[in-house]
Amino acid sequence: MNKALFALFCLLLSWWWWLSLERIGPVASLTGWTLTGCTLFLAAYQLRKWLSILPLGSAQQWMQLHVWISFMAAFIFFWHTGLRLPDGLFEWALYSCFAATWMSGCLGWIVTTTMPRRLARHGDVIIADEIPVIRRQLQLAADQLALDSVSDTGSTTLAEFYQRRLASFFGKQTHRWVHLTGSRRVHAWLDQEFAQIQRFMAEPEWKNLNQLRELAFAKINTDVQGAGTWLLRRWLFVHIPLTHALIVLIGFHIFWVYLFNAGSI
Amino acid sequence: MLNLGPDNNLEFSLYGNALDRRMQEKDVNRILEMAPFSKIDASKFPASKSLQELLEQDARLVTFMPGDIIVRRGDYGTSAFFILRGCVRVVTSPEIEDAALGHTPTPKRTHWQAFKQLWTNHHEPEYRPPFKGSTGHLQTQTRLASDTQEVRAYLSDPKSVIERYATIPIQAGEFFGEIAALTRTPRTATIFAENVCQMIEIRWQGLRDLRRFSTEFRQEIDQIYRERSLKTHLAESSLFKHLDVHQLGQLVDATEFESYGDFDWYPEFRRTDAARHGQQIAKEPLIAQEGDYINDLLLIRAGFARQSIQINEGHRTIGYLGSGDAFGLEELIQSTQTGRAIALKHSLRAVGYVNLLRVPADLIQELVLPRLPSRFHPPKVPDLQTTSQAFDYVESPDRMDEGLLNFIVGGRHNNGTATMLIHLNRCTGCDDCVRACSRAHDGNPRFVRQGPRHQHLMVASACMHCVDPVCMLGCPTGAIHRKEITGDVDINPKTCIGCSNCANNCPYDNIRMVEVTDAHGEPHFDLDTERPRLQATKCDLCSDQVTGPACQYACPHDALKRIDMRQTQSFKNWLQP
Ligand code: HEM
Repeated sequence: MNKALFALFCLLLSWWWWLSLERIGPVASLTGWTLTGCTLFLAAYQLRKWLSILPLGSAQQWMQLHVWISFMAAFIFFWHTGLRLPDGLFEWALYSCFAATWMSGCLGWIVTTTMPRRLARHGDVIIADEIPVIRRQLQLAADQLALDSVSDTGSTTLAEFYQRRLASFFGKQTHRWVHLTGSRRVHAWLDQEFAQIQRFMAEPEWKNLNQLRELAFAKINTDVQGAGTWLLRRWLFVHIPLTHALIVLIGFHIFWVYLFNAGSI
Repeated sequence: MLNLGPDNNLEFSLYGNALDRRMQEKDVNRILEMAPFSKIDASKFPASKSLQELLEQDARLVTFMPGDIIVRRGDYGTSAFFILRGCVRVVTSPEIEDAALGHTPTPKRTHWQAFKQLWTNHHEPEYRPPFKGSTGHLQTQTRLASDTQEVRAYLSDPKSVIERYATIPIQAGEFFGEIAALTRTPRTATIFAENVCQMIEIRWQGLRDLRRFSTEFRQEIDQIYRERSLKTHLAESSLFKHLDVHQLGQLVDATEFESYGDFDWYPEFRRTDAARHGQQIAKEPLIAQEGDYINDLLLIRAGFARQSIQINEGHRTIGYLGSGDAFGLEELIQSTQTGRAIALKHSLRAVGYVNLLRVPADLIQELVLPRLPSRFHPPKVPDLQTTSQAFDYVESPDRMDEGLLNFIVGGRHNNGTATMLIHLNRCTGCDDCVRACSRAHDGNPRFVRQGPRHQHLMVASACMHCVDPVCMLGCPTGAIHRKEITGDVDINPKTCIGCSNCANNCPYDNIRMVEVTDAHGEPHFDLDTERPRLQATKCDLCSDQVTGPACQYACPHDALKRIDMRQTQSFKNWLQP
């Protein structure tokens, strides 16, 4: 598959090279049209997803082509712009929109190829729809444990510890950005909190404390999974609108070029 | 069909309670006076289950009306029939059309039809067009049997079927359906009642015990099996391709067939906690013991078996065998090469149930091995003298991880020919697979992206199109069936009556019963019960779509794959982290 893609890539490159040698038109319009073609192809991926019941090639093949062509598009983009900075507001908009779309794609690609593995390694993978349910179950279980600990041991230490230090942690998704960086700061914080409180507890209370610790670490996993799935879904909310904006700007750009350079091609 | 003697004209009372599946004592006594049952030596049966009790528990009297379909080609049967009165017809050629058997002929859509789904898919969940009564001599219809209260499919005009198709009559005093019931293999022909027929239906458990304790019965059955099926099975095996007819005949005469385990493995499996599935090994019936000297080559016909070796006190799984696989070949080859007896290097146990053929070792050494091409030689198993050698062997990198093997065998995922696997290291949770599935099924996804997991592997809840499709047992209308060309298991919505048998049988809970609706989203009502109509739904591998399975086609990251679990190599390749 990769060989076929590479062959296609070479073919496109040599086609473009041949056109430029033939001097059908100025290099700018040639690179411009090729870039438009590439961008339209990249944007067509969304259409392909919608037309999933048609034999247009598997999504996996499209994904591979998407990455290859997007790299080719970057190369042509620099050729087209001649490595100089844009001139005027519209050019700035077009330039930065392309750059932003491209970079968001790259970031997304890194996220989609690394995040699932990170999530699977961290703990039980939880599907997005289940995260709020599991979080709520953990919260209810922790609430109950804190209450039970009072009647079990006659001491309110654990209940108070829970109320002061952990109740808000159990209540919602926390530390999204910390988890996205892969940091284990939250794990360390919890370890420290539990170690500290344990010093104030009699041995019979440790059983409940350990159960609460398990729940807290399960909650961390839920947060890690929540943060990961959030990013896995949300990056497309940047990539797709930018793509749409890019298509519109390219449309204006072509119109503009033709209006003022009529007959130049 | 096992012809064990003519019938006499006995009158039987049908059991009083229609739902009571057992026969009454007086019926059993009368049956025991008749051939072939009168020839069976009752003293050979154990006290815990006498012949009388066996018939009471595992047999029942049934009456079929003219046209009633008794067995359907392709269905998996669990019982055999002995005709007391009446005549049935076996359809030999041409085959009765799929539609008449309640199956779906689902043609592939054209590209235009596929495209049209984008705007013709319904907004209402589980839309079905109005259910029409069918007409024509070949259309199946269903009716309630007055004795058993079971729904039965029938041919509305059996006479015209007899005129138009080549059929063979089977008369009173003959058995039919025993091989498919004993070996859990598909019925090879469709059989329907020509006139009012009274029969004894014997469950496979009863047949198994009859065969076990009655030499006469066993010989009869084995003879039939040899004549009808064994030759074909042996000829199909790649190990025997180079034998001539005479040599094959020698093998056929010497081969024995055996069953281990329990055909009804699935109710127990469903009850067992998933976490304990992997610990079943000690309970699995032992077929061959590591260290014993080899007397026969074992060929698996149906079901699955686990290969294991013992290290210290524990059994370690090293692989699983399925239909077509051989056990003991490596030892036989070594023994031929070295000239000394070689002990079995692995134990073999039945996972659920196993049907196997025992071919005597001396015949294999004499007829098969001398000209067996080396590509059929199994990989060499080293001599495992010490515990550390055994550990090295079990944990060698080219072998599938033992934990994974236990997960697959314990969870019976090896039953799947198109198991939906999700690679959690690659799955981004984008749900493109679910959306594509839904689009390919009129807006209704046919799987749930959830299921049992082992490390980075998840087995999603989607029909696996099993090698042993227990869902197909007991479908009264033949709506759930295996497609002849592809082998996929499919449900025909036109003939599914919503009885839930398949959903209750499926060990993996991959069949869902849904309320079906009309174009306004209102439920269709069953005319008999006045209740909303239910239908069974499941993954059909997008058999009508031009793309093949839409879920796999829609996955951008190669994270979802439909895998035939018998192809361990492709499974291993895809599973790489
Ligand atoms: C100008 C350049 C680009 C355009 C116009 C573009 C456009 C698109 C569009 C329309 C989608 C479909 C989103 C959807 O419907 O789910 C998409 C998805 C994606 N793009 Fe790009 N893209 C560009 C550059 C890139 C680059 C440079 C990369 C990375 C190397 C990239 C990686 C991806 C990935 C990973 C997906 C999501 C695949 C998936 O999970 O389905 N894109 N892009």
